[in-house]
Amino acid sequence: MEASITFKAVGKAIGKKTLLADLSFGVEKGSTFVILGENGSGKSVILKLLVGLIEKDTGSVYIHGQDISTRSLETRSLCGYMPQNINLDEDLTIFDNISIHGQLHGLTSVEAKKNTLHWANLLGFTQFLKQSPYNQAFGLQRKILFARALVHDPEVLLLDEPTTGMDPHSRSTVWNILDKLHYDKTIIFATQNFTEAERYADRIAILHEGNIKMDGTLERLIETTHGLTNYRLAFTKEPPKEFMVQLEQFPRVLRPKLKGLELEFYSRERQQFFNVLRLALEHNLSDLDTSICRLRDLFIGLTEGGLE
Amino acid sequence: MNPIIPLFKRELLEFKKHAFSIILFWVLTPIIIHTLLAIPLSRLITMDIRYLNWSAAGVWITAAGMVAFLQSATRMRKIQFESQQIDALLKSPISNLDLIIINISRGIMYGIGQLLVAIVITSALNHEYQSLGNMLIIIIQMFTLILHFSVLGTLIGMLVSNHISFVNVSFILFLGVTMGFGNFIPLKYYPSSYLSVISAIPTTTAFENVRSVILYGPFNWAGFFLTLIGTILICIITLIISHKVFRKI
Repeated sequence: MEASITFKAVGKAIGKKTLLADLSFGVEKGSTFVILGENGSGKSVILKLLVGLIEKDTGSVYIHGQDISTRSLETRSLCGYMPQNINLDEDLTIFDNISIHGQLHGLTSVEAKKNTLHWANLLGFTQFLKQSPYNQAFGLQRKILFARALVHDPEVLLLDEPTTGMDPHSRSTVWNILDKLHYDKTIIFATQNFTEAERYADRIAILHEGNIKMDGTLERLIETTHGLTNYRLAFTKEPPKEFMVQLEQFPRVLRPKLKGLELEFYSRERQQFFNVLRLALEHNLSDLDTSICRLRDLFIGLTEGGLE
Repeated sequence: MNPIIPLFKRELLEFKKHAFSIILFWVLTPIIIHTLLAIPLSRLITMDIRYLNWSAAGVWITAAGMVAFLQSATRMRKIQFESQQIDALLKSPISNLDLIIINISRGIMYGIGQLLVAIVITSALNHEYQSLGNMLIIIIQMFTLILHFSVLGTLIGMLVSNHISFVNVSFILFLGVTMGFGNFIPLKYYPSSYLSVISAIPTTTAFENVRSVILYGPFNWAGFFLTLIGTILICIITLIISHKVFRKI
């Protein structure tokens, strides 16, 4: 498939803090690429760099084959960007906020009006168009930002935690729209929501401290765990310290963690689980749950020093 | 479509939204300066012509200059530090220069509006009406000063993020414009050492040129053009600084 976005050894630091470290990856045209990362991992930096809000220190970035440093006006016109923070213009109405933005991207006022009404209708805020965006609920402000990112029909859509603060109904509306759009647009979204990432991504990158720790389709990422299983045991009474000491002596029981009355650990071998279970039965075991490792487990493993 | 056009539309929409308060401010500012500054000083300062007629130029300069400065500076501060609208603008295919041009134009538009209202008000208060030719010369002379204040406002708005520091800078500028350049107190009242310093600043000559319109005196075109050149230089500095501050290099 043809590349839509290419990062080549990109580095960025502000002061002594490294935001991106020798980052390289590519995103295919017409795919949905998700960047998963904790706070401060560099997710927003990648999106801001693509729309020219931040300048890189080293490396190259291309959007549709055009270098963002030398062809920044062209590459910016290809992108629609929804930031994490609310940066709407309080002196304008919601309609003007979206329409002026469309015109800044080259639409005529008639086209901008038509597109603004279209997105307002789809996202269900037509009745608020003549009001100021600053008297509105946070979820609605997020929808306005989403409409503003889409008004000029960009080829590349960059969304920074797009559904944060939205109610379930709005969230589902946004995902339905993205589902329809993803056939002819490249969508990159940064998130901390594993369910959304698993549901909507064609490819997922796990970002940690400015670099991609793992990148691939959900299936491929899960495969790398080689059948690792997550076990959760619940107790009626907190187990004694000796129990945890004994547990740590099992060589293939990974990351055992006691949180209140719940013990969580990982293992690839069922026999290990039976050994732990036998031990747990002596200490007021009340319930148990097992699940194949998902994205969340992989993410925790990768960003907290590995599961092994 | 040139991105400057929608940005102008945005300014127009904002003006329409706040038109009443802006026009009220345009009317009240020259009246307040005339009443609280020019009238008391007219009782103390003696000169060949009527003081209130002479000080009308000071009212125009102070009102229009400060409006141009405050409009361009507050807008720049608002988009950059208060609302982070700068990100919404910079992600569009517009250049830093476009953004600076529109901000300076905003200061000029508001400054010219204030100047016209101030001329009408001082003329009515002093019963001294300017001819059409005089009005044109006043606008030409004042344009350089309004542009100068607008560019200065854009630069200050870009650099001063702290609100208190910005109020302090604006206050010092207001004191300087009203009291420091002979706009309300004739320069002959100042110590000679101070005069030698401010006469080296081209803006002083630009202020004198506006006062000369009222006295039907000659203009110092060198001062006019030097102020213009100085303004262009500040504009270039602003553009260079914008590359550092706008896109977080």
